[in-house]
Amino acid sequence: MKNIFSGFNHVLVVEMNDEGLYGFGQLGAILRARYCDPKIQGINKTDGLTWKVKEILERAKTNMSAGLRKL
Amino acid sequence: MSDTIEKVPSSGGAPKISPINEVVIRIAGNSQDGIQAIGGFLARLAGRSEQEVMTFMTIPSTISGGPSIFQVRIGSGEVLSSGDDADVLLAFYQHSYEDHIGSLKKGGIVLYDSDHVEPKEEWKKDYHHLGIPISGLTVEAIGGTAKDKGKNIFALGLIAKMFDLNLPKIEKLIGERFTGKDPSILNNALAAFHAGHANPLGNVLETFKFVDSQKKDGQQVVMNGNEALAYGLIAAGVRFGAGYPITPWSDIMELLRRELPKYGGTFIQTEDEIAAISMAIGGSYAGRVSVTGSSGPGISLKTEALGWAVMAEMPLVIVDVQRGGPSTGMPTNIEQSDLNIAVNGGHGDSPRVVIAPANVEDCFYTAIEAVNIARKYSVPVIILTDQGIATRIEAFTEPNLEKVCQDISPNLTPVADHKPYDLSAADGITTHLAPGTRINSGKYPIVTGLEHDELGHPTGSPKLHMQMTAKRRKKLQALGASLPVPKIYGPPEGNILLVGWGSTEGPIKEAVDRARAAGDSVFLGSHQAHQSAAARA
Repeated sequence: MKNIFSGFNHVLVVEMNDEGLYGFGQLGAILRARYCDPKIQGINKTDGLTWKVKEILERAKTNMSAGLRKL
Repeated sequence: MSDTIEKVPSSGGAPKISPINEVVIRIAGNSQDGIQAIGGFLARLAGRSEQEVMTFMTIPSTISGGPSIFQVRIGSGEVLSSGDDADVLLAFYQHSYEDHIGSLKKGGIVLYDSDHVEPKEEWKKDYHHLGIPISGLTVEAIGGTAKDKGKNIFALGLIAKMFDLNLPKIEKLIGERFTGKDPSILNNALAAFHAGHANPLGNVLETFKFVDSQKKDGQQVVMNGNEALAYGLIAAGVRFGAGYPITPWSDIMELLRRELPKYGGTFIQTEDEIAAISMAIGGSYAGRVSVTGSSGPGISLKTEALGWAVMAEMPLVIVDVQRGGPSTGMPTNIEQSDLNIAVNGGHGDSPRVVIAPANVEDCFYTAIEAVNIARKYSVPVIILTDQGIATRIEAFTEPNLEKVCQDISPNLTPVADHKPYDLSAADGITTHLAPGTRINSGKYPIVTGLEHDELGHPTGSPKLHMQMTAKRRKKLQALGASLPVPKIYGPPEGNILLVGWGSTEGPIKEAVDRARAAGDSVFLGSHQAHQSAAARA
């Protein structure tokens, strides 16, 4: 996983759960704890519906334009 | 599809027939209207026509019903999600029309029941409106009832006409749906269907026809995720299960209760969740991996017994069909918020395996994988699925049952000696021995939730606790090391990596495809689905 992550500038974990107290979903938090990599960020929602493709793309773009969160 | 829509018919008045690759149809009504039945017919028809299909539905959590939708996306090529926006909206009521017009593509078709829907002038310029008195014409065709029964099948006939669907196949599906019921029910359904299909659709709209499917890789089966998971458990050799009903897990236990006796098995509805997991542990203890399952709140109740299975190193499969939580939460909403409890829930250090299927087909094979991991590592395995994948219908290549079905009957072959918690075992991996197996050394072990020595005898030794805790950890580390590296969908380098698990696989892959097709090469995708989250991470 570490090698995979190293090939990318940003790692966005797409989940249907809340971003939690620290800004990561539940898998996102596991990956942050395991790899201590600040480029791991979350894209989360809890509206009870499956992800639409355009939602993922829009959220990814928003995330990028907002810049990475500071640790 | 909407790019091809024209309102003007071809010369001679006959509707023009345009070829299409795929279509997204959203059916909106109330939960008692049988709209899930229409969607189910369409999905099954697509599966039997070698097409790809994916559905999505919302249902109210109240017994009395309420507004509900069923969306079906059918394609002659690859279908990875149920579609963002619909090409066709079938609206039975005013609220269906007003609440879902926003989900229709500009230029899309609104097919509405003009007995109940008054279209809005301001929307007519953006969408093709086609009003048919569905309720009235259904009554004319088959006679009326207080609940307008049959109008869903009439509407299915309209859709069949619009998309030039295969009539004999639909008639066969309708026949199968009403098998075993009073013949008049089937006759009424067919009469309603044919009346809908005979409707001229307002004489103004072009109709559509799917191009031939590119998918020719064998016979397809069509089912939802809950069905695929349940059949996967049966194929894996599971013959005993116990559960307590809760949405959306109940479908699995209903299917197992119906099907397991055909294979010599049993499924029991217990008095509560704790009894269910305890009984399943008993089945596994007897020598054959057993299953229990639930949804969010029920999983919370099972966690103490889950800890027992971890401590006793008992193979067990636990299905968690996630829904919106916490507590009773949102029973019919889709959510992936049980990962924390699946991976970490419980007291003490209690490592277990968690697997999340990525699609309906994967539900079938994940069930088999879960059983095999549980047996090999003597560990509870949680299958983490969700409401979306549970009710989603997909078509996939029929599994080769002769190849995948396995016999996991208890092996009672006598052994020279047996230590269920052998500390010298490689990677800490030991297997459970069914009671009744002759042990020639005469030293018969026990299993217990107390910390124990190698033969299962309770101990208060801190040293043994440390060694046994490490043993329970090491076997999962060994499992983690044996798992394949997660697949990358696309090149191994880029700007953005999307990571997902479980049922999000399809939409993420389609997001990657769409972004890259648009020249937005920053998006690449990856998946961690179908892995052991705990062991892998």
